[in-house]
Amino acid sequence: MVILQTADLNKIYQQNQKTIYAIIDCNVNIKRGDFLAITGGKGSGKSTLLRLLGGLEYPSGGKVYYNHNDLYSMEEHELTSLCRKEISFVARENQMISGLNLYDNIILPSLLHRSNLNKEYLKELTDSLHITDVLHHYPKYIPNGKKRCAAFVRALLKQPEIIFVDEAEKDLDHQLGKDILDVLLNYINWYQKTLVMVTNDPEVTIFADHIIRLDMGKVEENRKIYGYQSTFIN
Amino acid sequence: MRLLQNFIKLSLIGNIRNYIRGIISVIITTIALNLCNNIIINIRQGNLNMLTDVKIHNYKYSSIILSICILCGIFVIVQYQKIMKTNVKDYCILKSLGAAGFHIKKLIGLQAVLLFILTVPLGLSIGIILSNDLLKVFHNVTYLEFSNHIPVTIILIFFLSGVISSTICIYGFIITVDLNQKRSSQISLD
Repeated sequence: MVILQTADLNKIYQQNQKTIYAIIDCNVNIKRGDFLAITGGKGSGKSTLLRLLGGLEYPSGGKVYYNHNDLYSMEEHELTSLCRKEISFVARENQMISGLNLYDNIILPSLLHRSNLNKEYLKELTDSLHITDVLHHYPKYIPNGKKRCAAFVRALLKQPEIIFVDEAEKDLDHQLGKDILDVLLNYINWYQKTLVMVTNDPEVTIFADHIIRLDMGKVEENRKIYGYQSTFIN
Repeated sequence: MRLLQNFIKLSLIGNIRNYIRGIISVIITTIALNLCNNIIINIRQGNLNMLTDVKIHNYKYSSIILSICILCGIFVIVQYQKIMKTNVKDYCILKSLGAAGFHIKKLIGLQAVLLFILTVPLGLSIGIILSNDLLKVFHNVTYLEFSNHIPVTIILIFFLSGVISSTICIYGFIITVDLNQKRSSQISLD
Protein backbone atom coordinates (compact mmCIF):
# COMPACT_ATOMS: atom_id res chain seq x y z
CA MET A 1 0.00 0.00 0.00
CA VAL A 2 1.41 3.37 -1.06
CA ILE A 3 1.77 5.83 1.81
CA LEU A 4 3.51 8.68 0.03
CA GLN A 5 3.67 9.61 -3.61
CA THR A 6 4.66 12.58 -5.68
CA ALA A 7 3.37 13.75 -9.05
CA ASP A 8 5.67 15.93 -11.17
CA LEU A 9 7.16 17.55 -8.09
CA ASN A 10 9.17 20.72 -8.74
CA LYS A 11 11.03 23.17 -6.57
CA ILE A 12 12.52 26.40 -7.88
CA TYR A 13 14.51 28.93 -5.84
CA GLN A 14 15.23 32.51 -6.85
CA GLN A 15 18.61 33.67 -5.60
CA ASN A 16 20.25 36.95 -6.64
CA GLN A 17 18.22 37.09 -9.89
CA LYS A 18 19.31 33.53 -10.62
CA THR A 19 16.82 30.68 -10.95
CA ILE A 20 17.83 27.44 -9.26
CA TYR A 21 15.93 24.29 -10.23
CA ALA A 22 16.34 22.25 -7.06
CA ILE A 23 13.86 19.48 -7.95
CA ILE A 24 12.65 18.74 -11.50
CA ASP A 25 9.63 16.55 -12.31
CA CYS A 26 10.10 14.10 -9.48
CA ASN A 27 7.74 11.09 -9.43
CA VAL A 28 8.15 8.72 -6.50
CA ASN A 29 5.94 6.08 -4.87
CA ILE A 30 6.78 5.01 -1.33
CA LYS A 31 5.11 1.93 0.10
CA ARG A 32 4.13 1.56 3.74
CA GLY A 33 6.85 -0.28 5.65
CA ASP A 34 9.57 0.55 3.12
CA PHE A 35 12.96 2.06 3.79
CA LEU A 36 13.65 4.58 1.02
CA ALA A 37 17.21 5.84 0.66
CA ILE A 38 17.72 9.08 -1.26
CA THR A 39 21.26 9.33 -2.58
CA GLY A 40 23.12 11.71 -4.83
CA GLY A 41 26.02 14.11 -5.04
CA LYS A 42 26.36 17.43 -3.23
CA GLY A 43 23.70 19.90 -4.37
CA SER A 44 21.64 17.27 -6.16
CA GLY A 45 18.50 18.22 -4.24
CA LYS A 46 18.32 15.38 -1.69
CA SER A 47 17.54 17.53 1.37
CA THR A 48 15.10 19.66 -0.66
CA LEU A 49 13.21 16.54 -1.76
CA LEU A 50 13.16 15.30 1.83
CA ARG A 51 11.72 18.62 3.08
CA LEU A 52 9.08 18.61 0.34
CA LEU A 53 8.06 15.03 1.19
CA GLY A 54 8.01 15.85 4.91
CA GLY A 55 5.68 18.83 4.61
CA LEU A 56 8.30 21.38 5.64
CA GLU A 57 8.38 23.37 2.41
CA TYR A 58 5.82 24.27 -0.26
CA PRO A 59 6.66 22.93 -3.74
CA SER A 60 6.79 25.25 -6.77
CA GLY A 61 4.83 22.72 -8.80
CA GLY A 62 3.40 19.23 -8.63
CA LYS A 63 1.80 17.42 -5.74
CA VAL A 64 2.71 15.29 -2.74
CA TYR A 65 0.09 12.76 -1.66
CA TYR A 66 0.11 11.33 1.85
CA ASN A 67 -2.35 8.42 2.15
CA HIS A 68 -3.91 9.66 -1.11
CA ASN A 69 -4.50 13.16 0.35
CA ASP A 70 -2.77 16.14 -1.23
CA LEU A 71 -0.42 17.28 1.53
CA TYR A 72 -0.19 20.90 0.49
CA SER A 73 -3.89 21.36 -0.22
CA MET A 74 -4.65 20.65 3.42
CA GLU A 75 -5.54 23.46 5.77
CA GLU A 76 -2.65 24.73 7.85
CA HIS A 77 -4.04 23.21 11.06
CA GLU A 78 -4.56 19.81 9.34
CA LEU A 79 -0.97 19.78 8.09
CA THR A 80 0.31 20.81 11.53
CA SER A 81 -1.77 18.07 13.13
CA LEU A 82 -0.27 15.56 10.69
CA CYS A 83 3.26 16.73 11.60
CA ARG A 84 2.38 16.40 15.24
CA LYS A 85 0.98 12.87 15.07
CA GLU A 86 2.13 10.93 12.04
CA ILE A 87 5.26 12.52 10.62
CA SER A 88 8.65 12.93 12.26
CA PHE A 89 11.54 14.81 10.75
CA VAL A 90 15.17 14.65 11.84
CA ALA A 91 17.01 17.47 10.09
CA ARG A 92 20.71 17.70 9.37
CA GLU A 93 21.12 20.82 11.53
CA ASN A 94 20.81 20.92 15.28
CA GLN A 95 17.13 21.26 16.11
CA MET A 96 17.28 21.46 19.85
CA ILE A 97 15.71 24.46 21.54
CA SER A 98 18.55 26.07 23.48
CA GLY A 99 16.41 27.30 26.39
CA LEU A 100 15.24 23.78 27.34
CA ASN A 101 17.26 20.84 28.59
CA LEU A 102 17.49 17.65 26.54
CA TYR A 103 14.68 15.89 28.40
CA ASP A 104 12.26 18.79 27.86
CA ASN A 105 13.26 18.95 24.20
CA ILE A 106 12.53 15.25 23.79
CA ILE A 107 9.10 15.29 25.46
CA LEU A 108 8.02 18.54 23.74
CA PRO A 109 6.01 16.84 20.94
CA SER A 110 4.05 14.78 23.47
CA LEU A 111 3.29 17.96 25.44
CA LEU A 112 2.13 19.72 22.25
CA HIS A 113 0.00 16.72 21.35
CA ARG A 114 -1.24 16.37 24.96
CA SER A 115 -0.56 12.64 24.73
CA ASN A 116 0.64 10.36 27.52
CA LEU A 117 4.35 9.98 27.71
CA ASN A 118 5.53 6.40 27.25
CA LYS A 119 8.30 6.49 29.87
CA GLU A 120 9.40 2.89 29.35
CA TYR A 121 9.86 3.42 25.63
CA LEU A 122 11.68 6.69 26.32
CA LYS A 123 14.06 4.90 28.71
CA GLU A 124 14.62 2.13 26.18
CA LEU A 125 15.49 4.66 23.45
CA THR A 126 17.75 6.81 25.65
CA ASP A 127 19.59 3.71 26.90
CA SER A 128 20.05 2.37 23.35
CA LEU A 129 21.52 5.67 22.20
CA HIS A 130 23.53 6.32 25.40
CA ILE A 131 22.11 9.73 26.30
CA THR A 132 20.55 8.89 29.68
CA ASP A 133 23.39 10.61 31.55
CA VAL A 134 22.97 13.95 29.72
CA LEU A 135 19.17 14.21 29.73
CA HIS A 136 19.09 17.10 32.18
CA HIS A 137 21.84 19.10 30.52
CA TYR A 138 21.27 22.03 28.20
CA PRO A 139 22.11 21.66 24.47
CA LYS A 140 24.85 24.28 24.75
CA TYR A 141 26.89 21.98 26.99
CA ILE A 142 26.40 18.74 25.06
CA PRO A 143 28.40 17.43 22.06
CA ASN A 144 26.67 17.47 18.67
CA GLY A 145 26.56 13.68 18.53
CA LYS A 146 24.46 13.43 21.70
CA LYS A 147 22.15 16.21 20.49
CA ARG A 148 21.66 14.28 17.28
CA CYS A 149 20.77 11.15 19.28
CA ALA A 150 18.27 13.20 21.28
CA ALA A 151 16.69 14.36 18.01
CA PHE A 152 16.21 10.71 17.01
CA VAL A 153 14.70 9.83 20.40
CA ARG A 154 12.31 12.79 20.08
CA ALA A 155 11.32 11.69 16.57
CA LEU A 156 10.71 8.05 17.53
CA LEU A 157 8.99 8.64 20.88
CA LYS A 158 5.65 9.59 19.33
CA GLN A 159 5.78 6.43 17.14
CA PRO A 160 5.12 8.19 13.83
CA GLU A 161 3.82 6.52 10.69
CA ILE A 162 6.67 7.88 8.63
CA ILE A 163 10.04 9.21 9.67
CA PHE A 164 12.26 11.44 7.55
CA VAL A 165 15.96 11.56 8.31
CA ASP A 166 18.52 13.83 6.72
CA GLU A 167 21.96 12.19 6.93
CA ALA A 168 21.67 9.96 9.97
CA GLU A 169 25.44 9.49 10.14
CA LYS A 170 26.29 13.22 10.44
CA ASP A 171 28.16 14.22 13.64
CA LEU A 172 28.22 10.59 14.77
CA ASP A 173 31.06 8.15 15.16
CA HIS A 174 30.88 4.80 13.37
CA GLN A 175 29.49 2.84 16.34
CA LEU A 176 26.86 5.42 17.24
CA GLY A 177 25.80 5.63 13.59
CA LYS A 178 25.30 1.87 13.61
CA ASP A 179 23.32 2.04 16.86
CA ILE A 180 21.00 4.66 15.41
CA LEU A 181 20.52 2.67 12.22
CA ASP A 182 19.70 -0.43 14.32
CA VAL A 183 17.13 1.53 16.33
CA LEU A 184 15.54 2.94 13.16
CA LEU A 185 15.42 -0.40 11.34
CA ASN A 186 14.03 -2.20 14.41
CA TYR A 187 11.38 0.47 14.70
CA ILE A 188 10.20 0.29 11.07
CA ASN A 189 10.34 -3.53 10.94
CA TRP A 190 8.66 -4.08 14.29
CA TYR A 191 5.88 -1.53 13.87
CA GLN A 192 5.60 -1.69 10.03
CA LYS A 193 6.40 2.00 9.64
CA THR A 194 8.14 3.84 6.83
CA LEU A 195 11.60 5.41 6.79
CA VAL A 196 12.86 7.94 4.25
CA MET A 197 16.51 8.79 4.63
CA VAL A 198 19.01 10.96 2.80
CA THR A 199 22.33 9.15 2.82
CA ASN A 200 25.35 8.35 0.69
CA ASP A 201 26.72 5.75 3.07
CA PRO A 202 26.82 2.31 1.36
CA GLU A 203 26.64 0.65 4.81
CA VAL A 204 23.20 2.25 5.17
CA THR A 205 21.88 1.85 1.63
CA ILE A 206 22.40 -1.93 1.73
CA PHE A 207 19.45 -2.10 4.14
CA ALA A 208 17.17 0.00 1.90
CA ASP A 209 14.13 -1.48 0.14
CA HIS A 210 14.01 1.35 -2.37
CA ILE A 211 16.82 3.61 -3.59
CA ILE A 212 16.53 6.89 -5.48
CA ARG A 213 19.55 8.63 -6.90
CA LEU A 214 19.26 12.32 -7.69
CA ASP A 215 21.44 14.34 -9.99
CA MET A 216 20.93 18.09 -10.49
CA GLY A 217 17.37 17.83 -9.15
CA LYS A 218 16.30 14.97 -11.43
CA VAL A 219 15.70 11.34 -10.48
CA GLU A 220 18.48 9.54 -12.34
CA GLU A 221 17.89 6.14 -10.83
CA ASN A 222 14.88 4.65 -9.07
CA ARG A 223 15.14 1.02 -8.03
CA LYS A 224 13.38 -1.33 -5.68
CA ILE A 225 15.29 -4.07 -3.89
CA TYR A 226 13.58 -7.46 -3.52
CA GLY A 227 15.82 -9.74 -1.49
CA TYR A 228 18.98 -10.09 -3.58
CA GLN A 229 17.40 -8.67 -6.71
CA SER A 230 16.83 -5.08 -7.64
CA THR A 231 14.39 -3.77 -10.19
CA PHE A 232 14.85 -0.48 -11.94
CA ILE A 233 11.66 1.53 -12.04
CA ASN A 234 13.13 4.12 -14.38
CA MET B 1 0.59 22.97 32.63
CA ARG B 2 3.89 21.27 31.86
CA LEU B 3 3.90 22.87 28.42
CA LEU B 4 3.36 26.31 29.95
CA GLN B 5 6.19 25.63 32.42
CA ASN B 6 8.44 24.74 29.49
CA PHE B 7 7.43 27.88 27.62
CA ILE B 8 8.21 30.02 30.68
CA LYS B 9 11.53 28.22 31.13
CA LEU B 10 12.29 28.75 27.45
CA SER B 11 11.34 32.43 27.64
CA LEU B 12 13.47 33.06 30.73
CA ILE B 13 16.53 30.82 30.33
CA GLY B 14 16.78 30.98 26.59
CA ASN B 15 16.52 34.77 26.48
CA ILE B 16 18.85 36.03 29.21
CA ARG B 17 21.16 37.66 26.68
CA ASN B 18 18.19 39.34 25.00
CA TYR B 19 16.98 40.77 28.29
CA ILE B 20 20.44 42.11 29.10
CA ARG B 21 20.67 43.63 25.62
CA GLY B 22 17.23 45.21 26.05
CA ILE B 23 18.09 46.66 29.46
CA ILE B 24 21.36 48.12 28.17
CA SER B 25 19.68 49.72 25.15
CA VAL B 26 17.00 51.30 27.38
CA ILE B 27 19.69 52.58 29.78
CA ILE B 28 21.70 54.11 26.93
CA THR B 29 18.63 55.74 25.41
CA THR B 30 17.43 57.10 28.76
CA ILE B 31 20.84 58.61 29.55
CA ALA B 32 21.19 60.04 26.05
CA LEU B 33 17.74 61.65 26.07
CA ASN B 34 18.12 63.04 29.58
CA LEU B 35 21.57 64.48 28.93
CA CYS B 36 20.65 65.96 25.54
CA ASN B 37 17.56 67.55 26.98
CA ASN B 38 19.57 69.17 29.78
CA ILE B 39 22.26 70.42 27.40
CA ILE B 40 19.63 71.97 25.14
CA ILE B 41 17.93 73.65 28.11
CA ASN B 42 21.30 75.13 29.03
CA ILE B 43 21.89 76.33 25.47
CA ARG B 44 18.41 77.86 25.48
CA GLN B 45 19.12 79.67 28.71
CA GLY B 46 22.43 80.90 27.28
CA ASN B 47 24.48 79.13 29.93
CA LEU B 48 27.08 77.68 27.59
CA ASN B 49 29.61 80.50 27.01
CA MET B 50 30.75 79.47 23.58
CA LEU B 51 27.23 79.42 22.34
CA THR B 52 25.82 82.53 24.10
CA ASP B 53 25.52 84.27 20.74
CA VAL B 54 23.34 81.49 19.55
CA LYS B 55 19.74 82.09 20.38
CA ILE B 56 17.54 79.08 20.03
CA HIS B 57 13.90 79.80 19.40
CA ASN B 58 11.23 77.59 20.77
CA TYR B 59 10.55 75.84 17.47
CA LYS B 60 14.25 75.09 16.94
CA TYR B 61 14.48 73.74 20.48
CA SER B 62 11.48 71.53 19.78
CA SER B 63 12.88 70.31 16.47
CA ILE B 64 16.25 69.47 18.05
CA ILE B 65 14.54 67.54 20.83
CA LEU B 66 12.34 65.80 18.25
CA SER B 67 15.36 64.81 16.15
CA ILE B 68 17.12 63.39 19.21
CA CYS B 69 13.96 61.51 20.20
CA ILE B 70 13.64 60.07 16.69
CA LEU B 71 17.29 58.92 16.68
CA CYS B 72 16.93 57.34 20.11
CA GLY B 73 13.63 55.78 19.04
CA ILE B 74 15.25 54.27 15.94
CA PHE B 75 18.09 52.87 18.07
CA VAL B 76 15.64 51.22 20.47
CA ILE B 77 13.48 49.88 17.62
CA VAL B 78 16.51 48.32 15.90
CA GLN B 79 17.68 46.68 19.15
CA TYR B 80 14.26 45.25 19.99
CA GLN B 81 13.69 44.10 16.41
CA LYS B 82 16.95 42.11 16.60
CA ILE B 83 15.86 40.66 19.97
CA MET B 84 12.50 39.52 18.57
CA LYS B 85 14.21 37.94 15.54
CA THR B 86 16.62 35.82 17.61
CA ASN B 87 13.76 33.56 18.68
CA VAL B 88 12.44 32.84 15.18
CA LYS B 89 14.54 29.67 14.93
CA ASP B 90 12.86 28.27 18.07
CA TYR B 91 9.42 29.05 16.61
CA CYS B 92 10.38 27.20 13.39
CA ILE B 93 11.57 24.18 15.39
CA LEU B 94 8.31 24.17 17.35
CA LYS B 95 6.31 24.41 14.15
CA SER B 96 8.20 21.49 12.60
CA LEU B 97 7.45 19.46 15.77
CA GLY B 98 3.75 20.09 15.20
CA ALA B 99 3.06 23.15 17.35
CA ALA B 100 -0.28 24.65 16.37
CA GLY B 101 -0.82 28.34 15.64
CA PHE B 102 -2.15 29.03 19.12
CA HIS B 103 0.91 27.41 20.75
CA ILE B 104 3.25 29.70 18.84
CA LYS B 105 1.08 32.77 19.50
CA LYS B 106 1.04 31.92 23.21
CA LEU B 107 4.82 31.64 23.25
CA ILE B 108 5.36 34.86 21.28
CA GLY B 109 2.90 36.68 23.54
CA LEU B 110 4.57 35.34 26.69
CA GLN B 111 8.03 36.30 25.44
CA ALA B 112 6.83 39.77 24.41
CA VAL B 113 5.28 40.44 27.83
CA LEU B 114 8.35 39.17 29.70
CA LEU B 115 10.63 41.19 27.43
CA PHE B 116 8.71 44.37 28.20
CA ILE B 117 8.30 43.73 31.95
CA LEU B 118 11.90 42.69 32.53
CA THR B 119 13.66 45.28 30.41
CA VAL B 120 11.70 48.54 30.43
CA PRO B 121 11.17 49.29 34.16
CA LEU B 122 14.65 48.13 35.11
CA GLY B 123 16.31 49.89 32.17
CA LEU B 124 14.43 53.13 32.81
CA SER B 125 15.15 53.10 36.56
CA ILE B 126 18.86 52.44 36.08
CA GLY B 127 19.01 54.93 33.21
CA ILE B 128 17.37 57.72 35.23
CA ILE B 129 19.61 57.07 38.28
CA LEU B 130 22.75 57.00 36.14
CA SER B 131 21.77 60.12 34.19
CA ASN B 132 21.11 61.95 37.51
CA ASP B 133 24.58 61.00 38.69
CA LEU B 134 26.09 62.11 35.39
CA LEU B 135 24.22 65.41 35.56
CA LYS B 136 25.60 66.02 39.08
CA VAL B 137 29.11 65.31 37.80
CA PHE B 138 28.63 67.75 34.91
CA HIS B 139 27.27 70.35 37.38
CA ASN B 140 30.34 69.96 39.59
CA VAL B 141 32.74 70.07 36.66
CA THR B 142 31.20 72.84 34.57
CA TYR B 143 29.25 74.82 37.21
CA LEU B 144 26.36 74.89 34.81
CA GLU B 145 22.76 74.25 35.78
CA PHE B 146 22.12 70.58 35.21
CA SER B 147 19.15 69.13 36.98
CA ASN B 148 16.63 66.44 36.46
CA HIS B 149 13.33 67.82 35.21
CA ILE B 150 10.48 65.67 36.55
CA PRO B 151 8.02 66.41 33.70
CA VAL B 152 10.74 65.56 31.19
CA THR B 153 11.45 62.30 33.02
CA ILE B 154 7.78 61.37 32.92
CA ILE B 155 7.58 62.17 29.20
CA LEU B 156 10.72 60.09 28.69
CA ILE B 157 9.18 57.10 30.49
CA PHE B 158 6.01 57.25 28.40
CA PHE B 159 7.92 57.82 25.16
CA LEU B 160 10.29 54.87 25.61
CA SER B 161 7.58 52.54 26.93
CA GLY B 162 5.39 53.42 23.95
CA VAL B 163 8.15 52.90 21.37
CA ILE B 164 9.27 49.58 22.87
CA SER B 165 5.77 48.15 23.34
CA SER B 166 4.81 49.14 19.76
CA THR B 167 7.99 47.53 18.37
CA ILE B 168 7.36 44.33 20.31
CA CYS B 169 3.69 44.19 19.23
CA ILE B 170 4.41 44.93 15.57
CA TYR B 171 7.26 42.43 15.25
CA GLY B 172 5.36 39.82 17.24
CA PHE B 173 2.47 40.23 14.80
CA ILE B 174 4.76 40.06 11.73
CA ILE B 175 6.42 36.88 13.01
CA THR B 176 3.04 35.26 13.75
CA VAL B 177 1.70 36.07 10.27
CA ASP B 178 4.92 34.79 8.66
CA LEU B 179 4.70 31.52 10.58
CA ASN B 180 1.06 31.08 9.60
CA GLN B 181 1.71 31.63 5.91
CA LYS B 182 4.98 29.80 5.35
CA ARG B 183 6.21 26.34 6.22
CA SER B 184 8.92 26.21 8.88
CA SER B 185 11.77 25.40 6.47
CA GLN B 186 10.99 28.44 4.33
CA ILE B 187 11.15 30.73 7.33
CA SER B 188 14.44 29.28 8.59
CA LEU B 189 15.87 29.47 5.06
CA ASP B 190 14.86 33.14 4.92
